[in-house]
Amino acid sequence: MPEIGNILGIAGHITLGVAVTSSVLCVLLGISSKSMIELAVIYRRQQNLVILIFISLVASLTILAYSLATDQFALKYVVEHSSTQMEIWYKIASLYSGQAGSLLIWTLAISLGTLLLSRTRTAVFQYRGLNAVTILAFMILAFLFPLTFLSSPFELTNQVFTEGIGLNPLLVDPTMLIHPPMLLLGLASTAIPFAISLGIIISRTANSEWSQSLRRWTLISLLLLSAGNFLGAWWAYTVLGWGGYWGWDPVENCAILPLIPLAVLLHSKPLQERIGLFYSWNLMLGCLPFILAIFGTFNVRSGLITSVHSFAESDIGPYFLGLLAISLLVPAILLSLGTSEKPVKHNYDSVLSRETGLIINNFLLLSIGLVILGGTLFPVASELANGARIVVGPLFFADTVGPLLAILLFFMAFTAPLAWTKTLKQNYIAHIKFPLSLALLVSAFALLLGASGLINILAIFSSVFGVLIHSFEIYRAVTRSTEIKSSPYNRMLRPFKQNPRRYGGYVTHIGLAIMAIGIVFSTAYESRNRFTVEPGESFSFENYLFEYQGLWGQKPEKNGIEIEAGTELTLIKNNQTVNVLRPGRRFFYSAPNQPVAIVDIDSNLIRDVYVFTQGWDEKQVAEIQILIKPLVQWLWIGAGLYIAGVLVSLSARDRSILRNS
Amino acid sequence: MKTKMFRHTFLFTLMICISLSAVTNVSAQTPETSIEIQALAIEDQLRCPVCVNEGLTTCALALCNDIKNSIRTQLANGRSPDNILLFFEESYGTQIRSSLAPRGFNLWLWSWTAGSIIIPITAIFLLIKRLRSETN
Repeated sequence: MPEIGNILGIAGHITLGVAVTSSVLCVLLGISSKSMIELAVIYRRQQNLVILIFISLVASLTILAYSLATDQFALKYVVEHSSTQMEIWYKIASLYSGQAGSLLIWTLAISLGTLLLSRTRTAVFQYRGLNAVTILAFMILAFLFPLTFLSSPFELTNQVFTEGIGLNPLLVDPTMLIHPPMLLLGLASTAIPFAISLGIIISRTANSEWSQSLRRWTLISLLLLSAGNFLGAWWAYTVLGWGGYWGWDPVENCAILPLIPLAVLLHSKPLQERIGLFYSWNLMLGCLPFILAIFGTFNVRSGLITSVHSFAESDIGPYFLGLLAISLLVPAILLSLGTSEKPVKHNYDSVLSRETGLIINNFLLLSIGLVILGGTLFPVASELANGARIVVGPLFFADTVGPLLAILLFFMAFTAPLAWTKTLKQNYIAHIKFPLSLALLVSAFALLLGASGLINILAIFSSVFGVLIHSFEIYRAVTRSTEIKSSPYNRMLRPFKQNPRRYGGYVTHIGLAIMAIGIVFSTAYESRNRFTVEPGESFSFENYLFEYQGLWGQKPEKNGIEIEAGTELTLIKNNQTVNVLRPGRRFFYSAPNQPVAIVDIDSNLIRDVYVFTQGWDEKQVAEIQILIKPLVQWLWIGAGLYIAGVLVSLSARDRSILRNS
Repeated sequence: MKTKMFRHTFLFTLMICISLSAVTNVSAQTPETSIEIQALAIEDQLRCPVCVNEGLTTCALALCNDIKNSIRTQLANGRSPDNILLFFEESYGTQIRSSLAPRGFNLWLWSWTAGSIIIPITAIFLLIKRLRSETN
């Protein structure tokens, strides 16, 4: 076995070496080209090199995956992150549970993006494509450097091991099979908008064709990052056992920070297309998500922050700090030196227009991003200044970001019925009066029923209004197409086919508003209690009766789990058994003193009964915590709609491109 | 067509109202006076004094269990939640509080936050003003 492991290690190094060489060649070709004729020839060579980079990185990952699957403990990475006891799926999950593995996936994801970018719309995109591909090859090289010299996944061990440490206990959950790779793909995909924007900045020859590619990749990054964050929230809710889904942990913040410039860019580009606003700003916005992704990578790998998500402190931190500085300074300096932007007359006719709404929303999003960035950096800043780390907890973010989000929802809802250029007052009032009255009615109803807190009420009002107004807009578009003789199904889909950019966006907005309803209710109006009970004893909480039957336990003999044990509770309402809940704890061989919670939840659309067991003694007296969380499911439903909306938007083809071609 | 739209909207609003009433019905029955509920509310406002980024509620350290027990004892003895919070702040320092008081070095973060809100809002007004004057 060690011989095979050694061979695999060497093979891994060779594949990485091929990737490094190909990337260097790709960059050199890109920067050496002078004339347009040369560009065309060189571009074809670059395309081939990009294929070679991708194949060699796929080979690297396959070698690492095979080593993990077949327990090749000659590799240090396999010893540190896998074990013979783990199921094959969790062995594969070890690919991204360590620093080197996750960096390899990052690099592979960038190379996949580069491959796709270099192959699409080559004819129109060639000149910009060349720049973007060269920049991407440089980035691949920047990621391959630590993989080859600082933190290689193919490093061999000095001694013979027959068993590994295994996966971090918190990662032994099916959600972990999809949440981290999705997030890694999302973060890595931000490299493409960065390269396209930087390509435009460097070449100073922006035509409208870059628009489609930038928008598409921005949406792809938004989709992957959002899905990754939603899955992370789901994991936190179902695994961590504290009843929440977002802890404003510094690493969580780093995962949502790139989403903000992506969202701003998507709403800012139409302003550029319509009234010639924000040209340079949009180019910087294209670069910012990747800069923030690098910032997050630096944060996670530098040992600066402590989090359930962070890797151990390593030599890689300073390297990523340098990369962060380069990624930030290069576009900023080049932009300050000037762009190809020609002076334009801004056709801004009326304050009551979609332009105003988008400007307000974009600046609000910017505010939210800056507040989150400040809260994330403050612990480090306080340590540098005072020597004492001041931790910024969820309460700070709830107090600051919460109201801003409520205001953003408010303006988001009021922007939807606004027309471009100018909206007639009477038209606008006719559009909003019905949904506005209903939203006010629902808010008043919520107030009457005991809902409290100005921000909560504003958020409820804005969310309900948001859902209604966007639904009305879609409904109008659907009913407008009734003149055409077609099936109801086709009529319903018609607006999404005709204008996917707009109506996809509306579905995403509806998703966001439904998520907001779920968030407000599940956090502001949750009820919680802790009970200490003996077997056979029952207790009541809210409208429910809980019967504690006793302890249960089992030895799964897999994935490094020593024992799973917990309490069995019968959930009763109106003398009828609703569910049998089995919350408990999972004990691992590798960390016997750090059991992981086993949460059990009885869910429906109205509320979740969330139960976890704090602990028990030798007499089976258990401490059980119960949370009744209203409307949590709305959060996941809203997230699904949000993703569906982004997918619809992705099917759009840019009008400016079509006009030009 | 309009009737159809009204019917659908009415149904949607009714659904939200029913959900709201069910939700608030649940909340309305919360026994506000229960010591346990008050204790959990206090726990939410405190952090583990030893761990980093770990709330008191979720921390399983013996020290945190002692703090949790102390909260319940103090509540049973009639101390107010504010007094209890102050007691722990005096014992372990301001770092035990989950919230960030706007004083001392924390003022830097609060100033940054204020700037992050005020500057973009000012930018909105200036930009709209400029656009209007350009158009006029």
